[in-house]
Amino acid sequence: MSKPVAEAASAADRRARQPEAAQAPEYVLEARDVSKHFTVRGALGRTSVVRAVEDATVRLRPGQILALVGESGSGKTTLARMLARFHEPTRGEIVLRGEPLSGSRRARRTYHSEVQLIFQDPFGSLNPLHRVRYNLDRALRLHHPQLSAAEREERMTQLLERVSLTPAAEFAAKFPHELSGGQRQRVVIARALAVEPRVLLGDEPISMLDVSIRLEMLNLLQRLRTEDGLALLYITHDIASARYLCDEIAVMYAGQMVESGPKEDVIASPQHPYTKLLIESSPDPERGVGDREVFFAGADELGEPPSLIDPPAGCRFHPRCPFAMQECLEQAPPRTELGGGHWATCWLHAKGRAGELADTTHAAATAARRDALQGA
Amino acid sequence: MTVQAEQQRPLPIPAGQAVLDVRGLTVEYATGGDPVRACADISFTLRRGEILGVAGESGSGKSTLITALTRLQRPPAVTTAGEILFHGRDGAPPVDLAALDGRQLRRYRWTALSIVLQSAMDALNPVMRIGAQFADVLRAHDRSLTKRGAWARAAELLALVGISADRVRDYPHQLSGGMRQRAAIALALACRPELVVMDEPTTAVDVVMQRQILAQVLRLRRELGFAVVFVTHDLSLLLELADRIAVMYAGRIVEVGEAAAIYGAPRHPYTQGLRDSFPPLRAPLRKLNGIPGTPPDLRRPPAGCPFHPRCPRRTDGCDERLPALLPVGRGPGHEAACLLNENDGDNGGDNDGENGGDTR
Repeated sequence: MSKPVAEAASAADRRARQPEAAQAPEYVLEARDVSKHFTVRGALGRTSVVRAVEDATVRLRPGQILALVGESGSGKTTLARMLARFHEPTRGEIVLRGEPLSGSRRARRTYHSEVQLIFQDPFGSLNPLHRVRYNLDRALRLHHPQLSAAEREERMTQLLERVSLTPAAEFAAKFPHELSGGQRQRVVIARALAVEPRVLLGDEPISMLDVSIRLEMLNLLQRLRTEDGLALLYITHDIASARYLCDEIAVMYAGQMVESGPKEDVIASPQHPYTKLLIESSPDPERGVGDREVFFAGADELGEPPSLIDPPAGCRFHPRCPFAMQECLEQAPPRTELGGGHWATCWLHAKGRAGELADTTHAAATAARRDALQGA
Repeated sequence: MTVQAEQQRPLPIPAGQAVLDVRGLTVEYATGGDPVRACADISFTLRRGEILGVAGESGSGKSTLITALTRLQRPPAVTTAGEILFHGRDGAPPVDLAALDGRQLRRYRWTALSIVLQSAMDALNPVMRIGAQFADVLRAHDRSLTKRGAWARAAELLALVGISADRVRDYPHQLSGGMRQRAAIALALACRPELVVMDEPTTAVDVVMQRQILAQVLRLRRELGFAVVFVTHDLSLLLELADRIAVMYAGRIVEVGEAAAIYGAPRHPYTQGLRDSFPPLRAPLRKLNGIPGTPPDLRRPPAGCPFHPRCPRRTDGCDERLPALLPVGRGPGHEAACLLNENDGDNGGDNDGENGGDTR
C-alpha cells in the first residue's frame, strides 16, 4: 500500500512539476526546501549554528488553510517569518505566484501587500500611543497611497465592520488599551486585511485569547477564506483547533517536516511516531472522564525536543521514539507517499512496520520497549 | 467515587476529610472610587488528596482567589470578608488563614501549603543554583539539616520529577522551560505540604510537556497525598485531570461539581458555553460559536446574574436577582447558580444532557 520514495526521487518529481507551475501558478505562496541557520555567539566567543529549519517545503493554494503544528522550538515560527520575509532563507527559495523573489525595495513592498503576518501577541503588535484609527490608517497610507483621506476613512469603516467591531467609528477612536484581547486581535487582523493580501500567516493567532473568544476568531478566519479566497497558514500547537479550521496539516519536529496530509487522515491515523505522540498528548474530554489513571499512565517521561545546535544523527526523533531501529540512528528516513497527499518521513514505512503505529500508544510502546531492554 | 478509588491505594492520610474550608471569601481591590469586587462570596471545601480545578477566563477572579488563599495578595487587594479554614494533619482545631498575621503564617507556608506559579522563570531566582534554592527552603524549615544534606535532598526532589541529579548545580536558565516548571513543582513539594496551589502551571509549555507534568502531578499526589487547587483557563484539561471542577465567572463560582457532571450535564449556561468552546479532536465537526460578547467590567458589574448580558437562555428576572449557588442534578456536590435551575430544576438538566450528547 505505502510506497517508499527516496528523497532524490521526490525532488526530481518536484523539478518536473516546476515548468508547469510557472505557466499557471497553482500555489499562491511556496517555500521550496528552505533552511534557516542562525549563528549564535557563546559566552567565550565561540560560535555555533542553530539549524532552526531544514529543507522545509510549504505550499499554499488560494482559499486553502494549512495548519503547521509542532512543539515550541520546532521551527514553525521561523518558517512563518521566512515566508513573511523577516528572515532570508539560508538555502532554498520563497516563491510568490510562481515567481521567485527579488530583493528590490519595490518587490519587497509588493510582496508585503500580498503576504501579511499576524502575531501571537495582540498586546504587543499595536502601537499603544495611537488610536485604532491611526494604526489602521497607516497600513492604508503605505500600501494604497492613491487613496484620498475620505476613501481611506470609508475603507477603514468597512474593515472594522468585517471583523465585527461595530460601531466602527467608536472603535476607531479607541486606544489599544481600551480594547479586550479579542478586540485587539481583530484590529490586528483588520490591519492585515487593509493591504488586501492574498495570504495570511497566523502565528498562534488565538493562543493568547480567552477560550470563549477563540472560536469567534477561528470563525472569522474561516469566513475570510470563504469570502475572499485568502490562503492561510495557521501555526499552532493546538491540534483540536487546527482540525476545526484547516484543510491540511503539516507537522514539524526539530526543524524538519515529518508528516503532512489532509487533516482527518493525519489526526485519525498519524503515520509518524511524533505526530502520534502529539495527538495522544492533546486534551480530549471525549475520551471519557474517569479513567484518568489509565489515560495518564506512562506519560511521566515523554522526553523533550533535541538541541538544534547539535541535532541527533539519523532521524531527529529517534531518542524519544519507542519504535526506533538501527536505521533511525544512522540515516535520515525517506519520505513515504501514502496516497491522497498524505506523506510521512519515517523508517517504519520503509521497513514494513507501519502497522505497529495503529496498534499501540506512545506510552504503551515506550513501556514495552523498556521491558524488552531490561529483559535482554 | 473518587474517594473510593483513593481508598484502594495506600495513602499516608485518610481521604475524605476536609483540608481546606473556604467560606464566603470576598476580595476587593480598593482603587480610587468604588472598590472592585474581584472575588465575591466564594465558598468551597477541598478534601484531602483531592484535585479541585478552578476554570475561568481572564478577569474571572481566579488568580485573585489564589493569592487570597495563599495570603500572597498585595494592596490594593484586600480580603474584606470570609474565612479560609485550614485543617492540619495533626487533628488540631482548624486555623483561619485569613486571620493570621505574617509571622504566624510563616509556620504554614511551604509545610502546610505551597504554590506553583505560571512562569517558573519568574518563580526561580535566576542568579542562584537550583540546589541552593531548594536548600534555602529546606533549611529554613528544618534547622538541623546540614548544607550537604539539603543539597542531597534537593537532588532527590528533582529526581521525583524526572530531572537528573547532576542538574542540581545548574542555574535556572540552563534548564528547558518544561524542566524549570517541573523544578518549581518539586520545590513546592520540598516540605511535604498538604495543599499545593497551582496557578496555570502548564500554560507556558507544550502539549507533550503539559501531559508529562500532569502525569507527574497525579503520580506525586498518589505517593505523597497532597491536595491540589489547579487554576487554569483550559477547561478541557481540567476535565481530564480534576476530581471536581469549580467554574468562575465575574468573581463568583457559578457551578461546581465532579468533572464527569461538569462535562456530561453542566447546569449553568456559561459552563455549557465554555465546554462547547473546545473543538473536538475526534468527534464529527460542527460549527461552534463560543460565547459571544466579553466578560463584564467588574467596576460596573451588571445587575442580577453577571452572565445575563451574554446568556443565550436569559429569562425574566435574570437582570434583577442574583442567583444563589444551589444543589442541582443527581451527582454529589453538584451546585449551580442559575435561575433556570430554581424555576424548573430537572427540565433544564435534561436539555443539557441532550446537548452533551450532540457533541460526542
